Amino acid sequence: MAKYGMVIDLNKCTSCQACVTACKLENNVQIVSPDDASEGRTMFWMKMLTLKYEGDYPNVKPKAIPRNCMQCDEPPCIKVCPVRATYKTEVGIVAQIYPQCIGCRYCMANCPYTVKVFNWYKTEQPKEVEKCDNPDVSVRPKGVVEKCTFCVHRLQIAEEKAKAEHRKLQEGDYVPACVEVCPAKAIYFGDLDDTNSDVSKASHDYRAFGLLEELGTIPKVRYLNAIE
Amino acid sequence: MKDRTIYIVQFITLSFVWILAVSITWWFIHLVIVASELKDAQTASISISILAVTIFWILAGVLSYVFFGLHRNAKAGA
Amino acid sequence: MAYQNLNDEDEVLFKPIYETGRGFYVLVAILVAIFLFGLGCYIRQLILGLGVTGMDEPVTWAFYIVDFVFFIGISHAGTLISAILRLSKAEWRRPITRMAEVITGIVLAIGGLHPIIDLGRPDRILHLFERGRLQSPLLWDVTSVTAYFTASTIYLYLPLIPDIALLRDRGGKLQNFYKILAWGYQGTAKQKHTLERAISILMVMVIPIAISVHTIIAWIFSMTLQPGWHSTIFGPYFVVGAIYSGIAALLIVMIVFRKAYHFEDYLKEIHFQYLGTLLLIMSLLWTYFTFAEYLTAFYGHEPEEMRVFLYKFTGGYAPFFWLMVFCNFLLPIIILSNRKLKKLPGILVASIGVVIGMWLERLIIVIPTLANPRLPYPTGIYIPSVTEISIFAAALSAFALGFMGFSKLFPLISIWEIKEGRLQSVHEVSKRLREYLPGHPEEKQVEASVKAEI
Repeated sequence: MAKYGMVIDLNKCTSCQACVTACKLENNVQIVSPDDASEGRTMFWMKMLTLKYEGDYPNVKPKAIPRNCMQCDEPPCIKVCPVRATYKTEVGIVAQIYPQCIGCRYCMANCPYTVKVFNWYKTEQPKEVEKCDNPDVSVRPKGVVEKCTFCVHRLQIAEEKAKAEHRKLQEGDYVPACVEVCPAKAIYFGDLDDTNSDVSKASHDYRAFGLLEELGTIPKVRYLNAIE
Repeated sequence: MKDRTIYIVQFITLSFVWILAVSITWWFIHLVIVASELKDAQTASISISILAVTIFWILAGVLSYVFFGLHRNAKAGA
Repeated sequence: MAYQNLNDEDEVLFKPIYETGRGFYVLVAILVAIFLFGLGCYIRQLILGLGVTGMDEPVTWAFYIVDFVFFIGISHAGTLISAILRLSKAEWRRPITRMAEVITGIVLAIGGLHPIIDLGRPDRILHLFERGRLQSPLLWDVTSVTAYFTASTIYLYLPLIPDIALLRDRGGKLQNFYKILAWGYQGTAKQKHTLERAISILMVMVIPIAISVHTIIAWIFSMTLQPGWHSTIFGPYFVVGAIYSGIAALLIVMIVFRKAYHFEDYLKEIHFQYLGTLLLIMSLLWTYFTFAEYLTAFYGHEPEEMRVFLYKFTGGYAPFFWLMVFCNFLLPIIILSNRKLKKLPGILVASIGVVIGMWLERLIIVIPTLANPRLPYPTGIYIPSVTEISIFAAALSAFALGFMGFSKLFPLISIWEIKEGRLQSVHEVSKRLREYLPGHPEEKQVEASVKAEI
């Protein structure tokens, strides 16, 4: 079985946030009202996270990284879920089962990366983006937790397509929206177990690191440090 | 109310605690099966179940002991 | 129901059951209004979603969880204290145990509902039964709270049986109700023996269950990886805090009902003195635990831990933190260690302070950790909404209503235990006392030797 992972090259990343937008549209992530946003209820599966600001005003250099779900190999969120609304699939993706979730938010409390978002209200997209809804992804009901799924619906489509064409899934058949859209090609994606894949090679690069690796969560999203 | 009716009502209320104990036992057996299906921590599930189930059975037992003890040792005819 | 004075020695204990003043009804009306408002808020939350609360990201657990921990903590007043006092044969427990046990029952029911109020999808609560995972601390919690509720209800009920029998023998409108509940108790020696045996089994059982309940609540937090939560002393720390707030709540209830129902002759100054001393001891113990908890965090100086630590000590939650230190440490210690202040009004002030302080302690444990995630997200300050505050008010009034309702059906002070104390204990205690003393415990021998010397 494949083990999907992602490597984000911070040397190439321009912080353009194309991945953030692509993710929102691809996964029908709710665009919340300004009022809610100011209360801290914005919903992002992929988010730019400013780690630190370097330099003094006016020559400030923010150091930001794109941050989605780390798809940990040892996910703390799964451990505590009381109803198995979150689980790890065979290909290593940490998935959410929206109809099973009771909304206790324990997984959110236990996620060291704080990647999970909660549906505080019933999902209501602004009229302007209604037509952009992706029919492949279900809209989440109110009161459940959601997060990045590595665009698992794309994997299903790719698998079926490969099956119809009587071939095996190849590298590049399945990529999440953020990877596809990245103009700087800063995000590598693929099978980590396949030693020939770009992502596997990149993950063994000397610049590679994982966020909060010391917690033992074994994140499958890794970063390549920027060379100053 | 007649003494007979009262006894029956009391008996029904007592049976609730047994229903509770039995249903909790059944629930925990179910949960242990779920845990093995989901490949969760088995030993933890089983030991928690054993502890919890014992507690509920003892509680039901103590209550029944009091119930029958009180009725058996009542003054005759009172 | 007309109240007939049967000239029982303990008539004043029966009185509240048969006589109800106007003030009672007014108070009930006010409390019901508060409760209904809270209920309305909850229904609104059910319809609109949890967005009506002040919770946000990253503070995804807030008031409801704080109240949950707080109420379950209060519940330790009862059963645990009453069991420990019974077990240690403290004679002064007699007028106290019943109230303590009632607090436990009511507060547990209220506290146990809070996680359900907190759920985003309470309609899916049955998933816990269908597909619950025993490895999640939430399931441990469901189990232990259910067990504690069952055990403490039974532990409340069994010592109530002889009193119900007394009420049954008085007749009146509710006679059938009492007849059913009295389980045919007539006070024969064998019946009494059966009952006492059951009570002693229960009081031994109830102590570990009570401790497990709050330990497990602490584990909900400490099983996570979050800074400020992932601590080994959380279990005992929470238990100490729970007993601490429980005693304070018990003292408040005792003082209020002593005044309202004229129990001055039963709840004497000495009872408050003893419980006050217990409160003082718990205060010191709590302070010790708090000190140990924060000192290790500070000395280790891990950046993530320090962020939470500073948020509490100097940051957004500093006012609450220092108010907590004042309420839980300074105030009770000043009042309770001063003989002049350790009178009823002083004890009441200290107890109210402790209850507020313990609520703040729960707040300070739950929120700062969530507000300071490991990764550098922007943090705001959590402000509760009207919904959360009114549900908290509703929970408090539900507690008052439950307690008042109980007082109209059953005596708040265990009548048979008072009678038993009067008839037997004086003799028993003096005998026991002699046994503690060195030399031969036999009464006759002592007397004989005294005579011989003369």
